Amino acid sequence: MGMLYEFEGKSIFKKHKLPLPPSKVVTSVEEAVKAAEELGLPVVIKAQTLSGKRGKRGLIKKVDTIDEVKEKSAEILSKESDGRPIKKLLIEKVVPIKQEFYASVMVDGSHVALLSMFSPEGGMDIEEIAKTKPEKLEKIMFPMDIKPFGYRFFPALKRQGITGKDMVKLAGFLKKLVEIVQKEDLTLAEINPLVLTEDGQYLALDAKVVVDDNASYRHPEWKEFTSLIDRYTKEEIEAKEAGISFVELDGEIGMIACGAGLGMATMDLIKYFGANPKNFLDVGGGASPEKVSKALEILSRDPEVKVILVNVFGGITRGDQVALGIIDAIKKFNIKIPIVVRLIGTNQEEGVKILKEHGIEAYTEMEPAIKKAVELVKQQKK
Amino acid sequence: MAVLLYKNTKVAVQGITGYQGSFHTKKMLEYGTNIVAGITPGKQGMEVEGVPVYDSFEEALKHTEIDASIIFVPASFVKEAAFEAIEAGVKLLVIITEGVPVWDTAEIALKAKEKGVTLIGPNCPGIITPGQAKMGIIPGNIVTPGKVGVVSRSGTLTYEVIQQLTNAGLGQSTCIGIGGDPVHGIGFLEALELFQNDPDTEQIVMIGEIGGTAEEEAAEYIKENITKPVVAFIAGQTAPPGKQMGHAGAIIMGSRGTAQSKIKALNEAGVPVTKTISEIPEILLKNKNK
Repeated sequence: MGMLYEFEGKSIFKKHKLPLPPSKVVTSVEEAVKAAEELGLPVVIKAQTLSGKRGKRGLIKKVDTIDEVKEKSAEILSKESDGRPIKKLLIEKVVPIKQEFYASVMVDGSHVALLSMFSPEGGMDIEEIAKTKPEKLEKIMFPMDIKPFGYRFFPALKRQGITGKDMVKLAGFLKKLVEIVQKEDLTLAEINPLVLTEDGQYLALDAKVVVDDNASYRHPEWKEFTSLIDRYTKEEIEAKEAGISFVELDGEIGMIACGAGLGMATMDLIKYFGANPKNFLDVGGGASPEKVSKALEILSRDPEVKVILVNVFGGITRGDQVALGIIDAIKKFNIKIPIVVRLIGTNQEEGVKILKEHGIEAYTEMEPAIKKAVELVKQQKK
Repeated sequence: MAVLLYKNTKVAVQGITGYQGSFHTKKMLEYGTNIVAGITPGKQGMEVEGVPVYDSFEEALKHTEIDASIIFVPASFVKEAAFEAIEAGVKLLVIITEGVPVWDTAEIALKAKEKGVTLIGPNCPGIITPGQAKMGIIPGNIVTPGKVGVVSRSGTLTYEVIQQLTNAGLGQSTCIGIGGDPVHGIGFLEALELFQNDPDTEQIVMIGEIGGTAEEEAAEYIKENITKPVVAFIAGQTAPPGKQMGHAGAIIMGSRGTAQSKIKALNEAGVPVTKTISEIPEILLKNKNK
């Protein structure tokens, strides 16, 4: 699942003619000034980041003059978010707001349902609304294949005191949001705030959109969404390109597993026995020696990795292939970090033999192997 | 008895001529699965491991009955393959393929429900009834017939647990991998219900993961409906908070979805959640000897 930048999410809204305030994406102070002049002051400068609470973090600024545009856009562009420099700003025309609402649609997988939420208390954290004013939050569940007609939203809107033309307009907006989620392979579309302007228009002032990565093959237009790449570190991208799923963490043990569940359980046990995993890494089923070698290469470059732990239960994965990958990496990248290997399953004997010939005694059980890796970390700390 | 899959279940393999399809057809046959047909459009007349290949279910059904189907086709073809199997009247459908779009799975799941088809997966290791048959990729040599029902969201972690059960002399009635995708076929609730009603299952092992609320809902269900002992393990207790979902996800879940909330909910339902995998057989053995 990939979260998009606000302006990317809005581009999907725009395609479906969901009303938005006029805006432009810029990457420099000069462009910001030009955009502000074209849109007309005042404007709002919004950092394009993947984590929320931008207002509180000083990453959204309303400005009234060109001097302010220069000052504030330079200030925001000098900042970081999620450990990365902020590269893009959305310059948006200020609209006169009469009322703020909250609206979202998300996939509720375990019920094969869509959850549509609405509140007349927009602008604030939705968690906050749910906690302090639950009566102001409407939650409507639909089957995922629902035909999203406007009338389905009337009862919820009426409960919130919205009637007449406003009810019809808002229902149309909510219906559209469901349609967009259904048609664009999204798992979440959230608008907070959705605003009613002084001149009676409903506009999406923000956009939080999550796309389903599995559907990217049928969305060539997603290639332009840099958010889908920016969320990874350089190493994570390198791993991704090799077909490895890899998430960096803070710890001492570099971990390689075949399978996500086994990987997560390995991380848990590392912690349980008293150390910390430096990463989550899953080489997947049927890993080739090249893939295993690549995984070791990535981990061995990290100076914080004190021990490497390989945990393989071969189903589709073959033990000899894993062993060949380990030996290849040790030689090719001259790895000096201790490596603890647990190897069991398909072609176990062949794999264990290859490792033994190169001086590595493989474990057959998972927990003793993890304990050993933790012990090695503790020894190094002494 | 076991659940869902038996020695005499007539199984079709969709995508039988592909790399994964042909490899696992061999493994499933070796295990004793009654595979009656392979389906790959355009390849009718071929044989894979002695199994006749047909273009479609329509062609295959001229020659044999089919009770269940397993899908190995690439993600972008899964929806079509699944609809074909459901419309052909199979009662059990297993989808091994990973990377299926959420919205495709949703359509498949809703169609399966409408037609009364039990769907397992996608992105799952499948199902195995030890000593009888398997549909999927769970290694046949780690299971042994017995009285423990296993249901899991994970693949390789399931193998790990099964192996440790087998090593401890605890055989399994049926093992079901429900898959790790957000939208999927049967879940913990349905599997728990099946095991509760199966006279051959005495105890149940449930392997969950962080994210979603399936474990919390299972806990509620267990409290009301399950009288057999259940032991659980939750993977990902130390994983960093999910980057996947935004605000709206966090809000309905609140503190739900975390390992802590799952463990708490299960404990309140009287289900022990073990810290390590090796504790699972220990508790089962204690229950057994009571």
